[in-house]
Amino acid sequence: MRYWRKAWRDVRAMRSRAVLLLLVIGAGIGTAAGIALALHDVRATRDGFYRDYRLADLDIRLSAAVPAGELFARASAARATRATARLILDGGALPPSGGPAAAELVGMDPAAPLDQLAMLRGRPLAPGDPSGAVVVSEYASHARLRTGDPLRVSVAGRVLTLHVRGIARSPEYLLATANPAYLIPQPGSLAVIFLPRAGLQALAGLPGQVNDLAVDLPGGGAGAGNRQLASGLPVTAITPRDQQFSYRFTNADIRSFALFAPVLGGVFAAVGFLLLALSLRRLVHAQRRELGALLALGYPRRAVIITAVLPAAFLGAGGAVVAAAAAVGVAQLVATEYAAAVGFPAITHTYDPVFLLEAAGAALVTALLAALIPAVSLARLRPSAAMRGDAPPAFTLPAALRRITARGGLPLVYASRTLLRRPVPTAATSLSLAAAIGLGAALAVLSTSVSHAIDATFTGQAWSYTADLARPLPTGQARLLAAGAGALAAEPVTQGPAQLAATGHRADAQLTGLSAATPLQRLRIVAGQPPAPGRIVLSEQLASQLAVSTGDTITITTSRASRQKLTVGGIARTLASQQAFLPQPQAGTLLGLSGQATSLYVTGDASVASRLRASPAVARVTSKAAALTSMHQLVSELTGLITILLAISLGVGALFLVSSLALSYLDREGEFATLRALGYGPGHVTGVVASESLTQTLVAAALSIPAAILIAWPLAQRIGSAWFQISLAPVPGDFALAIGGAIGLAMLAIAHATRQIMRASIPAAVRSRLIG
Amino acid sequence: MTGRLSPAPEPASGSAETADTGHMVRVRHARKSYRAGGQAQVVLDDVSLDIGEGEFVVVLGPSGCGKTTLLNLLGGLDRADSGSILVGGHDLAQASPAELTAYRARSVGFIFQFYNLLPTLTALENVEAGVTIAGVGREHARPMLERVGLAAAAGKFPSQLSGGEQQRVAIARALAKGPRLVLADEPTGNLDQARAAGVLDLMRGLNEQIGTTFVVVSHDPSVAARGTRVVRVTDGRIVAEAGQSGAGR
Repeated sequence: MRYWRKAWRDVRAMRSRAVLLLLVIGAGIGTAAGIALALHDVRATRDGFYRDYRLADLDIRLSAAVPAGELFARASAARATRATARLILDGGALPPSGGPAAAELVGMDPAAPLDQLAMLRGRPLAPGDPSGAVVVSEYASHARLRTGDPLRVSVAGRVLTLHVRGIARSPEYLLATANPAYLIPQPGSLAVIFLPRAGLQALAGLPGQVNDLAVDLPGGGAGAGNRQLASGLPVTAITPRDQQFSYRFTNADIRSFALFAPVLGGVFAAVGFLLLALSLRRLVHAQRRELGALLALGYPRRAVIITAVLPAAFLGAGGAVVAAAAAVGVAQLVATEYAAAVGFPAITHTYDPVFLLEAAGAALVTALLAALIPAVSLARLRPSAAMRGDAPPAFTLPAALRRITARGGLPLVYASRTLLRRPVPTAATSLSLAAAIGLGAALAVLSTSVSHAIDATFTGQAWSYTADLARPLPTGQARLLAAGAGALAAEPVTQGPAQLAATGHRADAQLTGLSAATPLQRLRIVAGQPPAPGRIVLSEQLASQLAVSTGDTITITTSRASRQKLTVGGIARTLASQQAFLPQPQAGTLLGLSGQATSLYVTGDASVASRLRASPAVARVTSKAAALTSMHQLVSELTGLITILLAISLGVGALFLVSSLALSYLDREGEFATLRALGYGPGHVTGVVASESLTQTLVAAALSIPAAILIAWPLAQRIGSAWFQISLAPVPGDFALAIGGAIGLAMLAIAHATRQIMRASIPAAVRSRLIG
Repeated sequence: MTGRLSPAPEPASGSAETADTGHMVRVRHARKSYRAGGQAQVVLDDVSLDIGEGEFVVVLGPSGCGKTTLLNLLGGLDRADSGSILVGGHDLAQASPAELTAYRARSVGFIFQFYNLLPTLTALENVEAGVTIAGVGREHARPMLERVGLAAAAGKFPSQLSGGEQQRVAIARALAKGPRLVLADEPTGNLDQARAAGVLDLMRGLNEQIGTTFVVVSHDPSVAARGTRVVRVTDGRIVAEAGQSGAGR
């Protein structure tokens, strides 16, 4: 028996139904694989960029400049495989268009072996062009800077005019932000300006001096050797590669994105399999008489099963191609949109065959499994029973339900009872659609909730600007500085790096000393009490990393003090992830900065910010409004990605809806033909189809609301551990787009189904036996 | 009325046809073919036929001879490739899809071999489905159900009825709206002998009592005995006619 030829003929006879099934098989699995492939490509692009442009294993930043030779000697003693020393100064940028921004001027060796620049436009740094700058692309784009433009910068109390020679990406500043403590980057908030090292040294009056050492170390820079390398130096920060802002953000972000993949893929795969199982069950049962005849002719069960399953194999093979193609398309779309949202380099699409083969294999296996189950059950029938065909579907209703559903015109009566007659497909369709709508709505809920969390955090803050001081100042002087700038109120704080440890857990933290009365910076305490002597307040993320709660004991270590034990007095909700708070005197002692402030929170207008920027005592000024705006901007850019995922979700949902509608009408083609024979025209048929479909869609829409919350909740938890804690704050608008989109697509599906029904031949369909 | 072999004179058009000739149905040179395996297969070939008002015509022939196709053309379920088909003054060959739909709703009743009751509607609701679309009051449904002897089964679903009962519901559905023509395709083909006889008796009785014209398609010679006229179809052509001419009453 030529199984393959028969199977191929069967599939060809299915025509558009076969295409629909191919799409159902491929869409869910392909989307899941595509998102996984997008993640893979984003990771590969990030890692490739870091490798190609040599992100250093370790960076040591000093608060005062030292001779470059001293740092190179230390690097050599530490057996660094590569080292580069730089002069990095904080300042401000005053671009030709747009407002002032915090700036970081990096004087580097144009031929540095580490933290190299990837030139996008213009020319690289040249030692003979001391004022020729290369600007990091994110800021250049934000400030609309082009090569050849002049760029004024303020540094060390002086204003200089540089010339933009080139635009570049830097592995170190891949995502540059003025406030690295806030894990969400603020695009365009930090102007990173590279200059030839000698040029910046000359401009700053620090010939031969550097304050930054970047090294590659044997073993990747982990371990105690780091402290030895920095021993005795005025260290501001020691940043291993994995703590570097861009690296941390992309890791955290990719991790949270990675959680989306199984959720999205899982939902698509589950509903896809459900509908596929229903579709292929029908396909197998359509062959029931044929298979019964084969059994009667003496063919073994194995042959019957093969005959029943082979058409599914063809569909599975087609679905595999669709799945692989969908995976490539979805990966390109999602990865590209993600890169654009977070400012990544152009994505290198890998088309990794492992992912494509897995998608194709999963599609094939799913189709075979979905067909195998009904095929095996059919092959177990007696030949006579199989040849009789499927029994007509019996239908009865309890009297009460019969009375309830008898209300309304025939379309409503027929539609409502049809939905009750086929409870499993009805439930499967509604649940599938609810999952697809819910997934889209969940993404919108997350987007809103992130924005809400940002607003809630900033709303409680009374400051308008923060000013990071160029060097620690006595708190009295810091207050005078603020008053001199015209600030209405000022709050000096002391900040510095610290390491926290609890049983079995360690975490790096930014320790902030708050004055007893904190009129400007207000902590959102979610558990326990505000900071008090001996009682530290941790951010939720830190508490989670250390696995501690209020009342537990932790150990704090700083570069200036021995270890101290503290009690966790409270837990605060912050946007900045690694935050710890103590009363200022205790923090100052721990950081070796007693009575000194490292930054200021101030209130006032823009003129206060301008005066602070002009002060040589101030390294950088950050505006709360700008921070808030840029965070919202990033969220809105990420919303673009969410919109794409929503579109994919609704697209797959629509495919499932069309497929299940087609399946439902194919099962009842005889009934529709009868209605048409009785004189029911397109209007009535549309009424029947619309009643059924809209009922299912509305039920799905209602179910999608709890489904969205159920899906969004674990994603919010994951985002909470990666970025900052968010509470779900859904608003009706989050559901409107997904539900409105689903209803719109349902209308299209209704129009399509009605057209199909009205085009079917009445004489052929009316003789169907599948009538009660 | 006379049933005639082709060729036959061209019919006049419009509603005057019935009044002028007394013919309920006038078919002239109807031809219908289907494409099968890439080739046109002629199913009806130059068929002409007149049926008078109130006749009970049995179209008899073997499977595949074209008798059901003829019924489909008379019912406005399908269109002839050429020729004219006039039913009760309706020119089905020239009718738009909307006109055909309205024709099926109001002027013709169908009885199918497999009953074709909507399984999710009760017996009464199935009959109502036929009358409401015709614009006839819903109140006509129950009396017709009583007339076919199924008043007690009004609230039952098709799956709770026997084959014979289901076919009676189908007959009630076809007749409740008061059509001038009822088309029955193998109405006893799915019933045992006793139930088949009961169904035929019912149809014939209603034909006599109400005067509705019946065209019944069958391959069963025993059905032919109930007709006022028998039209034999073979290979797409009318090959013989027998029985009395004129109204069946």
